[in-house]
Amino acid sequence: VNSQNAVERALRLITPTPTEIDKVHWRTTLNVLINDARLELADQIASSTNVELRNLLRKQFPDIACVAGFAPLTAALNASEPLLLKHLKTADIRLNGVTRKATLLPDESALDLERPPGFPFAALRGTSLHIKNGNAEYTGDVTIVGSCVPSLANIVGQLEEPYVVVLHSMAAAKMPSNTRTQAKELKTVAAESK
Amino acid sequence: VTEEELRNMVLEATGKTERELPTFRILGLVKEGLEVLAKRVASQNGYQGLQGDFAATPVAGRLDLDTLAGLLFDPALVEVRVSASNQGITIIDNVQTLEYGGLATDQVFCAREGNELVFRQADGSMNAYAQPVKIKANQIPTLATLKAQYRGALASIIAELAVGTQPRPELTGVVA
Repeated sequence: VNSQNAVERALRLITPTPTEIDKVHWRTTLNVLINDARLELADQIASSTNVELRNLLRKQFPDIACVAGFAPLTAALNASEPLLLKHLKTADIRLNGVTRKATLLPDESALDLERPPGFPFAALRGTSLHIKNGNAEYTGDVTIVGSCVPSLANIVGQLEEPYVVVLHSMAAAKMPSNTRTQAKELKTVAAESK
Repeated sequence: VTEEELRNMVLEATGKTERELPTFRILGLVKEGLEVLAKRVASQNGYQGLQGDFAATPVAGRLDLDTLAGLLFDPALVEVRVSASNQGITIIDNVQTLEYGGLATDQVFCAREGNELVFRQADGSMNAYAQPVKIKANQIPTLATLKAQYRGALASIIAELAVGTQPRPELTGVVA
């Protein structure tokens, strides 16, 4: 999907049909939200209970060099299709030369607990992964397969409509609607009549 | 429509003789009549009837709309396209938003600032766009190019102007 296509499709979902001048304002708002909607869609998909759906927005990120136990995620977070950090707990984290996947711990202090070699653990510190293999700080390549925020061009066919709906709903929450305006007026009238 | 045809139509519409409403008076109102007609059409549902393509090339990301003679620029009614590819250019409602980094980078955007149209390149840079564009917009026609279906309306407007009836601001957009 491209941005113009997505915006025009989202415009079609607006009821009642906006006037031409309202469409200009809607287009502006929809275009401003076009990237936020990508993030929201990725979050919704990653939170889905449907594993097939989740897999549509999972990918393998380029290997990250881990030095003395720290693997910076900066490149993965700044990629055109960035790692969805919020759902890192569902990512597969594999270390070069280690058979078992790393287990992500919610608390970095738990990394210091006594553990046997061959059982890697990781925890987030800022935007880096702190990784230990057994009790040793890990050094080597790290491969992450996790949820990502898709670029517009890579939103696959079956996710196009959900994306357009997300875009529309985000814009609708920001644009004044007749219903909300009328509700506000009713509240004002009610307050004034007291 | 020729000037003679128009004169006859206006005289018929007003019910006046040539002595009561001389030709020079009618022809003197043609320019104003065409403007009023164009604004009336632009404000109605059939606004497409008097739309035309204007070709222009922005310089350093800006296009002076005053250089496009007869253009009636209403952001709600115009379509701006890249001439070469015919790709639509989305009109944003203010320049500040045009500078927002979160806009998509797969298309060109533009916004009106005063009498200028400011363009944002697909790569997000401002003050750089310089590709030819075409603007489909309402225009003020000339007598020579006026479509047949608007001749009666023009005669009626000129008659209205000639006999001193106040133009209706809600239709003309012009407050007397």
